[in-house]
Amino acid sequence: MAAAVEVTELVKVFGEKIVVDRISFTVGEGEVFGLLGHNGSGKTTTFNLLSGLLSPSSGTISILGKGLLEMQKSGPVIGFVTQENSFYETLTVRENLEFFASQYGVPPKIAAERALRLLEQVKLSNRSQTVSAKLSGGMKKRLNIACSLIHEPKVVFLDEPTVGLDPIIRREIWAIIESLHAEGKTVIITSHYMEEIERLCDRVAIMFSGRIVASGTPEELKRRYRLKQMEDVFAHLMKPVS
Amino acid sequence: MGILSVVRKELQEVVHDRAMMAVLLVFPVVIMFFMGTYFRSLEISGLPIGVSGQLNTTTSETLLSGLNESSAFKLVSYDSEEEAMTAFRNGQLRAVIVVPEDFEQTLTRGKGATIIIVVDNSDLALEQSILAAMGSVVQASSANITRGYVSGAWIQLQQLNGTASALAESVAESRAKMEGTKVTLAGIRQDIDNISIGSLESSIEDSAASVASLQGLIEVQKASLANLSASNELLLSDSRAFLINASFALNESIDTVGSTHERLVGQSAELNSTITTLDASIAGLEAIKATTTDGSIISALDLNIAALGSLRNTTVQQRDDTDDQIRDLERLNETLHDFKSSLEDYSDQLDQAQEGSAGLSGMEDVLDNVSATLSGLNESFGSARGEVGKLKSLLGEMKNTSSEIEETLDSALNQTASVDSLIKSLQDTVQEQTGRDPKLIASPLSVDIKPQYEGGSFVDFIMPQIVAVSLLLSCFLLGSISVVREKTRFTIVRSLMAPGALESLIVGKIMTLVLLSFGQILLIVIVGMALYGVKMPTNVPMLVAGGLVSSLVLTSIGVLIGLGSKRESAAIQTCLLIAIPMLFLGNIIFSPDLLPQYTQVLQQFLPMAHVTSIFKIVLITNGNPTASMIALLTYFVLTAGVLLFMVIRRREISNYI
Repeated sequence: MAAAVEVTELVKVFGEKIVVDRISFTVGEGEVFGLLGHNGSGKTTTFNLLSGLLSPSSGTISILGKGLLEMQKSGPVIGFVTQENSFYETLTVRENLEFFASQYGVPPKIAAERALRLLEQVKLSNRSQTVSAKLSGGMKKRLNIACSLIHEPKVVFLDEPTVGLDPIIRREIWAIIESLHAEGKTVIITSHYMEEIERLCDRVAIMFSGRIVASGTPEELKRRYRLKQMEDVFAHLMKPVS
Repeated sequence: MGILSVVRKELQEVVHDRAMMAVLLVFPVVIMFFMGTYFRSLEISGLPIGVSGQLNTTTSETLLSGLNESSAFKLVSYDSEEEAMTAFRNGQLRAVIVVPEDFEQTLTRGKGATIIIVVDNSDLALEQSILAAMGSVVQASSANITRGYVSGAWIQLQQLNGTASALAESVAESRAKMEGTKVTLAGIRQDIDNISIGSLESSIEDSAASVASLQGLIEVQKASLANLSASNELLLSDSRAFLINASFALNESIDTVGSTHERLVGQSAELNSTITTLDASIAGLEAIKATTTDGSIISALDLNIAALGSLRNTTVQQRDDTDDQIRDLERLNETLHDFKSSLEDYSDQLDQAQEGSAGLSGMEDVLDNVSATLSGLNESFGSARGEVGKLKSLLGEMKNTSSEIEETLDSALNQTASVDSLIKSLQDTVQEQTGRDPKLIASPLSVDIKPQYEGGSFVDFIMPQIVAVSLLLSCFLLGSISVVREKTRFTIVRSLMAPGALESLIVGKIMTLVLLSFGQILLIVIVGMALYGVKMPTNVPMLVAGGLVSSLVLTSIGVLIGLGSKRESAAIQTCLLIAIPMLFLGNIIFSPDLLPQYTQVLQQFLPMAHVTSIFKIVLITNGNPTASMIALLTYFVLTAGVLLFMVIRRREISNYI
């Protein structure tokens, strides 16, 4: 499996605080990779570094075999689903999609086709003309994901996509992620829900204070720490924090 | 393409966002409504003003009626200042006018009187309006009072002028008199010079000598008079005797001549009778002769006639001789009578001489008196000499005094020239002053205000400020908030991830707000025209250009604020922090000319001052706003430069979220 994302000795320092401390990992193409960690462990910063929203203090990032600068020049290949919804609530569902498509340089016609398809994919076809503010929480989450996919990125980052959602909606989101996986997209996801990680991720890396303290498939980690549940593994690794 | 999609997105957001629609559409309309309504009714009217104090005098009534006639005020009289002030403090009055109790008396004395106006200075605009309106009325009343003063003063001046004219005439008369006096004095001096005191002295001496001589003569005369008296007595006696004898002889002669005259008259009569007889005889002979032819007879007759004729001639000769004698006797008689008369006169003279002789003794007494008088006279000559000496001294003093008087007169004449000049100056001044209109003296300056921009209402003139305020707030707030919302909604993440998306987003937002600003300007103009009758802008292209440049700058600043703020509240606070000074110093609330010098300099660095200036030029003055446009474009270039720098250099998400 070729590496879609390759991180080597990545460091991010804010002032004197080392937020990301020499992390290295590789995500293969079409793989769903989970990044776990307690609040403030550096997950979101790592995502921001991976998506180009932050510049690394040191280390390298390679997306689909290209460095970040080179990758950004060649066009958007990353889809970033932020933890909070990042679309315009004053626009309709369709307007949001078309706008972000234009932002990513997608021609209007293609954008319109993709919007239709994405709306079907996220099950918002019947809400395309609804002003986003009037959508339910689950719908908004799905729209948020759709907005991140309108330019058909090959690598998708999802930052805690189901946080605060009820189980039904969460399952809907899972379904979307699974469909992305099925499409062969490389997905990197952060979450506190171990059930979610176990279900969706091929591999995981657990961060602690900016460092990756463990990585592997969920089964490997459970075996490594001789625990039955990923949640126990996580709790075990987070002990120094507690 | 990306920019246009941003513009479309922004417009779509506006359409779906009622709050933003309100800011964009309702806000300018509200500003237009409130400011238009306020400025349309800017002129004060019917303000309750309390008055107290000396209100019933002519001047105070004039003053208060002037205020009453102004529709700006409604005067309410109070018995005391305290009552008026209580009503003022209770909010029933906007100002109180206190007329001092000695107001009229002070004015009558020609001193300036002061009325007190208590005004609510906590409301600056109202205070200024009240003071301006009252000031004009008080000024007019003051001018009337001054006019009264001037008119009174001119009457006095004209009276003074009349007095001065009389004085000038009097001075001229005095001068003529003084000139005459000078001539007289010169004559007196000449006379004094001509007076010969020496001859007077010698005359006195001569007179004294003459008196002495006369006294000697009087003595001689007295002696002669005594002799003469004796001779006269003798002569009178002889003459009397001669007179008696001559009178007797004369009477005798007169008698003789009288009798001889009578006799000769008789003879003459007889001779006349004889002549008559002879004539008759001769006539008879002639008659006979005429009747006779006899020669002898005739010869005889002729002989008789000749004889008779000869006789007659002799008779006639006798008669004529007799008549001559008669006439001689008559002449002699007259001579005798004359002589007699002379004798009678002589007799009278003798009588008089007799009486005169008696008077000779009186003459002697007279001579004695004369002699005594002459002695007194001689004594008088002594004192006369002393008086002459005094006279001589007096004349000297008179001459000196005369010279001094002349000098004094010269000085007085010179002074009269000064007085003439003074009077002339006074008359010229009076002429010049009284030749003026008292009304002009009272208020010599009048102002003819010609409004530069005819036909405009207050609302027309406030339109630039309304547009500027609307643009300022909407561009600042919408520009900054829309950028901040990109952060708070995390949509900026997507723009940061897409190449050029953030730049497109910023430019698109600015373009959208510029477009919306045009909509705002259009809306304000339409509302102004519809509700307040403001005039249609004449230079639409310049209005568009001004709107473009102004909204570009203000929106850019707003976007810059948004980029620098992480929360809406911070953006709003920053907007207000920047907008409020601009409101105060941006020619919106305060006229730049009323601000301190340093703020006027500061204004040049505030874009709002140029925004207001551009709209004032475009909407009111119809001038050329190039300078302000260049200033704003400079601002825009600077702001755009800063924006570009921020967008390029601050790409990390941590700068935004």
